[in-house]
Amino acid sequence: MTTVEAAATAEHLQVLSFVLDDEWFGVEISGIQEVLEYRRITQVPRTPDFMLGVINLRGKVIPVVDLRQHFRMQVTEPTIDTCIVIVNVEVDGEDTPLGILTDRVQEVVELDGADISPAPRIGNRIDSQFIEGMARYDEHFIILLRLSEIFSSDELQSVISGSERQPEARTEHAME
Amino acid sequence: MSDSETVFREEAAEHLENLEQALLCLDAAPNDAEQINIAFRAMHTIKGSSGMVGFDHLSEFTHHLETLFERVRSGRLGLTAEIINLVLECKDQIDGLLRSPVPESGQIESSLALVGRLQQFTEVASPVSEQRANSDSDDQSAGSGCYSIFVRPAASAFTDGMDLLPLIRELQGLGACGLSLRLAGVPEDPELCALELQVLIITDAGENALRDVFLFVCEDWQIDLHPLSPDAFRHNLDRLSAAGWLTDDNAWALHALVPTAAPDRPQASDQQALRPTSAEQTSNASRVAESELSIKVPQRKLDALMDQVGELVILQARLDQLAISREDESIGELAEELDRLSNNLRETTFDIRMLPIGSTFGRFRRLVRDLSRELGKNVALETAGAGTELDKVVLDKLADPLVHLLRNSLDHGIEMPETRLAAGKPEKGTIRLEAAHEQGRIIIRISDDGAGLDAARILEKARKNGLVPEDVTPDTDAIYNLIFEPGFSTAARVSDVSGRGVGMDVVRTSIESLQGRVQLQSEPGEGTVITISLPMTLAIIDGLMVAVSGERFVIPLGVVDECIETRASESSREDGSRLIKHRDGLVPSLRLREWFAVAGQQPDIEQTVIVHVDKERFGITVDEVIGHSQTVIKSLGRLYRDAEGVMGATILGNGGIAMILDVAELIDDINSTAV
Repeated sequence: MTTVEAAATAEHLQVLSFVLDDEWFGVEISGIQEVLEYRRITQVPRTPDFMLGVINLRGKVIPVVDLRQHFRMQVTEPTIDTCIVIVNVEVDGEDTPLGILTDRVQEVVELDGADISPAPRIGNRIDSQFIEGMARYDEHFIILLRLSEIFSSDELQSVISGSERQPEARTEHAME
Repeated sequence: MSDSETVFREEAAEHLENLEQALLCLDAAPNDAEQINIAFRAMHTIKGSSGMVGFDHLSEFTHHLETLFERVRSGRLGLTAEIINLVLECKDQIDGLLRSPVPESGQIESSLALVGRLQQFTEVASPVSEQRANSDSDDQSAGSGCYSIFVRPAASAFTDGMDLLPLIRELQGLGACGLSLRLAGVPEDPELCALELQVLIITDAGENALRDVFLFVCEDWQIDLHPLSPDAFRHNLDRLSAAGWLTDDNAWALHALVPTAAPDRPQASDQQALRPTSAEQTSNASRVAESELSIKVPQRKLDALMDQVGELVILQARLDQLAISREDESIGELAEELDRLSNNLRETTFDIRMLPIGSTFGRFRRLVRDLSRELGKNVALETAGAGTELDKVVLDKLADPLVHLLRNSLDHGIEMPETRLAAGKPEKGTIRLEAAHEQGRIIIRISDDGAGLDAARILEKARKNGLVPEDVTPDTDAIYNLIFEPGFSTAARVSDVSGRGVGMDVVRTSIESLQGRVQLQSEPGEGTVITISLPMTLAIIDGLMVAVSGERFVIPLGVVDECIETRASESSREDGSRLIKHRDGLVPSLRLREWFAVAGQQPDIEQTVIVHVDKERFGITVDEVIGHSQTVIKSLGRLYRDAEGVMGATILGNGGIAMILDVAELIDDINSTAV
């Protein structure tokens, strides 16, 4: 059920828009469980930086990721607007709830399926395989994310092995 | 797939297991009448119910198997090892046929081959009788008997996927039948069954065989079966045909068949036929009683219950904290009461998930039996502690490693009979599989009286594979443990059974994923002992809560030896590993703050928790030891499944999260960086 396919069949697409480093992103609302205020995230030791850790959501342990770090965007300290969006993502065929840290959650916008265009091949900060499509909304471009691609185990594996030296780097930081 | 098919499969799997168990018992004691009955009943039920849900090929196949066993049951065919082997093969065939109502062409061929072999026995055993009726007449019912059978299926028969037609066919196969089927009223719900069946039958097969037709529906159907004297039979026939329920032709045909003589014999034969029947009924009754004591529940429901109880325990901890901080006696009292209740609830819930390990022993017995024949070895499997209970999840994941270890023992451990005799050992090798509770853990031991491990060969092989450098010679224990290394196999030739070089390391990994450890002891010429130690459950552990800055961590209490004070001034390596003085020796240890990169100020006096894994001692330095805590383990999920040094998380009373340390992994990590 990719968003584009859904968009082609349905007239309208409801998308929750949020901001990462001043850019608008969107995720189709059917995949969204809830939006939480920022809360303390417990780190899981010796894991890549963009995997922030876990939170307790009513007795369940839910991982939270920072897509800004994953997309190599600028990372700022949490503010009063910072939210954690809980989404259900299919990771290797298993429905997995996880939290996405966002700078700000905007609103639920209704997009016309015809207005969604595929991601341009170049000129993006983000790898186009993670993008479902783009749509213009008021004066913003909303980038529709393909979450299952971002959290597929192949992709995670490459991120994790790419940051293998991470723990040592962090240790040095702590020693300073 | 329809529901009734699923139910059928589940039930059939159970019956097959019973069948296998019975066969294995019969292998040791071929004349055990009770086991023969169990086996027969299992086959019969599979045959009947498979026909009802449309597994026609399977039904047909099982029919031949049943024919053979009927002979065994009546004592006309002695069970030999050959027959038992054949029946076991048939059981495997049934296993395969269960997958789909329509068999694949290969399956049909192998079915036919098996049926051919089955028929050899049935024909050889009683050359006279092509029809089972003739042969049965000798001992079972002493001539034809007349019976009246009244059947009223349960109202839910159709929705359960039951069908009368196969039953009728089976009855017709047993003898001449007069059938009348009618409606006992119009059911309110068109899906309900309101049929009644009256059967008058003349058969040589005996009452037993008739009852067997209804074996698998007995419990909710009304079945009245009683023998009739020839006169009463005729009388009934007349009444039925007069009422128009039987065609005249049918009635006359039956009239002609009614046995004329034997005034005394039916009496005697009835008695004979009755005796086994009543025995069977009692065993049926006890079976019903047993099944009433246990119910089947889908795993999913149990998991949900488990989750909810886990949440309750967490909530309970929060209430406890609140009661303490409020210093309110009434809340405190409530919290205490609730504490007791939720603890009991938790224990009961965990208990529900516990299954005796013996339920898997059966398949191991079969494995050993088949393999030893294949390898030409003479091996007995002894089991002990079948009642030892394990978490269902652990049990499921344990089966494969155990199979592997048993295969190894059989293939590499136990010698060929001549070798054993030459070494002055009994010809028959023994593998012991034991399970027991020890110190809050489950111990599973597999021991054989085989040749033991060959240290020289292992070392040679390890050198060849580059696992051990040429100039290093580890001690014997270390050499033995090399077989757990990835890519290691000592079998000189690759056999079908084991020796593909992926084995022992997989065993170790899967045991470790269950928070368990594998140990191996071996004595040349005496045998090998492999000990697996496992936690009682995966869902909750006793833990020692520690703190580093604000962060909480839990160390599984099982590995903790003691806590000592250490001074921060003792230097450590950059990655946090160092040696600390403990008693008379030095213990390698790591500072959790540095290893996990926890921010904050390091205190002057720290606590070091001394833990052990196997015989290895090891220190984990933390800021503060908080104390014992019952820890509900929560998985970190797929995203974090590669996280090293933590095996999960737990939720604290204040809603925070603490990581649970995987000590064995930590030690491995430290060791690998220290090299």
